[in-house]
Amino acid sequence: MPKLEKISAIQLISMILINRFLFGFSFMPTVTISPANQDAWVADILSGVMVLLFAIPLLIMASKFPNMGFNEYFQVILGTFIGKVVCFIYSLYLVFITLLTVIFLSDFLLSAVLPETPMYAILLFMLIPCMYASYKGLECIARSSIIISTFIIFSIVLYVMLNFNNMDFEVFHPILLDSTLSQIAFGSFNNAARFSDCFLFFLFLTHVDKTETYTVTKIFIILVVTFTLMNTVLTVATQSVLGVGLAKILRYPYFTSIQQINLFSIIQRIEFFNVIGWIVIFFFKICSTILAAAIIMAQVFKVKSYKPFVIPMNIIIALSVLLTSISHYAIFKTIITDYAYLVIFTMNFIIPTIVLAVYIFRRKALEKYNV
Amino acid sequence: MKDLFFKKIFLIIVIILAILFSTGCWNRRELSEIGIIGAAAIDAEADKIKLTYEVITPKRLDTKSGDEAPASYFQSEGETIFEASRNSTLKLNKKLFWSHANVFYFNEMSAKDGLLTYLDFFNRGHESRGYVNIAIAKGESAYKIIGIGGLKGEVPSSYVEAVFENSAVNGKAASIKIVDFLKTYYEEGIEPVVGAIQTIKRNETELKMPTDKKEEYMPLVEGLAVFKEDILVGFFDGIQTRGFNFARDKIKSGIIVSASPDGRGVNSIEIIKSSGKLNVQIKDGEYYCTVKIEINGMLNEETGKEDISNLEAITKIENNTSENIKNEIKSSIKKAQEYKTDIFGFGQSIHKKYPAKWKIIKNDWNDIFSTLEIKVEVKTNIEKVGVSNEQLSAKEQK
Repeated sequence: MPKLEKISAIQLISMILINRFLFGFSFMPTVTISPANQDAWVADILSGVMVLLFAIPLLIMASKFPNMGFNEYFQVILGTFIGKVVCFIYSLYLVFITLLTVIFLSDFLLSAVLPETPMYAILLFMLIPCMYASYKGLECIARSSIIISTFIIFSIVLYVMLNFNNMDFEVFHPILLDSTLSQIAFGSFNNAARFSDCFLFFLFLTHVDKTETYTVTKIFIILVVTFTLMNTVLTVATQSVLGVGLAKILRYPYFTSIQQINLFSIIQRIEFFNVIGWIVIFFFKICSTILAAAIIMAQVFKVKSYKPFVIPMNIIIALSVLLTSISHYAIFKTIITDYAYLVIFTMNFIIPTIVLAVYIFRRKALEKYNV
Repeated sequence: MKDLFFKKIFLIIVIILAILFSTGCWNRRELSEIGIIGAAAIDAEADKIKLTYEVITPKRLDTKSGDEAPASYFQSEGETIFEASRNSTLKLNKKLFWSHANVFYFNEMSAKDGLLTYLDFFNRGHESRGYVNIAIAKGESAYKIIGIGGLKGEVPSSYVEAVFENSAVNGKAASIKIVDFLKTYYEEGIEPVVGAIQTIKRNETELKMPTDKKEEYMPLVEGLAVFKEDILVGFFDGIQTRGFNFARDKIKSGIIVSASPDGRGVNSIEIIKSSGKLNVQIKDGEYYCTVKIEINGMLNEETGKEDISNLEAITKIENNTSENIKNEIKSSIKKAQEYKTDIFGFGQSIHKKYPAKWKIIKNDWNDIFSTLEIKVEVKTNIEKVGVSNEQLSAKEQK
């Protein structure tokens, strides 16, 4: 395992929290996919519960192997060869998540903010700083995440306050009477299953300073409660400004909702704060995910430093965006809407559940690794 | 030492690059290159769209800044609004910039075609905002309205926008933004409305105003364009519009004129506070719809002869005012029922209160609405009568 600096629990929470804002700021699955009605906030809250449930296998294993990242104990449980293959797949999966994130960013910038800017320019100005940040390591990303998460939460609160006169809370009636249980459950699942940063949490967890008094479960619960609360606030704010039906058809409902701010004909067109927030969220998501992928790859190939993997991974992502049709709107939308959450769910829950089952079968043989 | 040297060189290169790229963004558009749209008129014709736009002159906007007009007007055509907008570059040396638009006018034909067809450009594009006022040009082409209104040196679209905002203290008009229209369109149990605008000829006195542009016409925003889904079905006059605004609880102020207690004059009540509530009950399959309005007002004008300092007279004024408001609301409901469109949101109330029933009737709701007997209850409280105990005309009684 490449040696990384120590970070604090609050830094880890901030880092994952920033990454998780991506969905709240972008296409909001509960608002646009299911239940896509006035009960979206219920689905948001339920999705927080589901995230906790889906993380149970990883939480159990993390508590059994507190000094190891998931990539390490996977190899311990599954055996070196199978474990390395699984970790290699996870590394590729994280590169795939980064690729989707980069496409997401370019899609937003090209359709809503800078339509005339060429894709390569966006990639150049985004990926080079991301590579630099990944090179600088976990501590650099974790430290700055405190400031950035504060800024993003501040921007959300500010926009909610400025948009308050546009909000109509009557749109949330009737509560729980238009949706079926399956619609709400599917919406919650769809939202919860997109928690791709779950593995970043369990990978970087081992780098949290052990002198702090915490338990893995406690940190994870704080994280989930915080992002569930913030995403619910975003959902309620968006739907109350745009209405349920209009929010459903928009690609970036939260962004459109803050475009409606117009106080006294003076305070208007202030969505630039949000655009800054967007870019920073993407920046953090890209550099932390690439860092995680590079760390896993270095560990799989027993390389001392993760750094040699950072540049090739970024180049692969840039070339995939520029040379393939994956960034085409229709293809990207299909991947994001119909398939991405299933892939993430498989990686977050199904594979860890299988690994946990193997652990249960082999627990006596593995006792020496436990603390 | 060598490492430090290379680090310094690297840092210098980074700083130089940062300086180079900080001078402007890729999408930069200089002020001289853009035509800032203040208003646009969309006239749908049989096979094309005629787009007329007000391009604001970037300068100090007051009457002392010379004779230069605050805005210029151009027209272009195309099959879509975007094409018409881009065709403007065939005659204008600037590219149109939609972010600061104040108001969009549509002719009746575009509203009868389906307004969504024409709003898609504004909803989809990254430049326009949802808080732009929209209005239907009643009985004339939209391009005839653009550019009129305001004092000399004032941008006409800003003037019209301000007039629309005044509707909150008048009630006979409505300021409807793009986002309001779309929001209502996508809601269940309620149909959208849009402000109406027309031109009226100025009288001689108005033409004499020294700071005015001495235009022959001026804009009038009285009334409302009524829609069924996104199709224009008709118009409300000012009184019907106020009735609608009462029922939708959109009244912030306004003047209600009613007969004096002795019937020999009239009085003006200023609305200080108004609250309106729709209620629907379903019993044994029958719909019981009620509109309840409660207003607090102040007597600001009385031309009758009767002493109004006693409670009996005040009660009479309150009753007369209530009766007038009731008639306004009934008149607007009747008109909406004729148009078979529930712009009041009775369907919305059913949706909230009886969601299961709503699922069954929602497709036929407008037809059901058109046959409903709707009860209107108005309660007026006159709390103040101004600073005079007696009306000026009461002397002869003494």
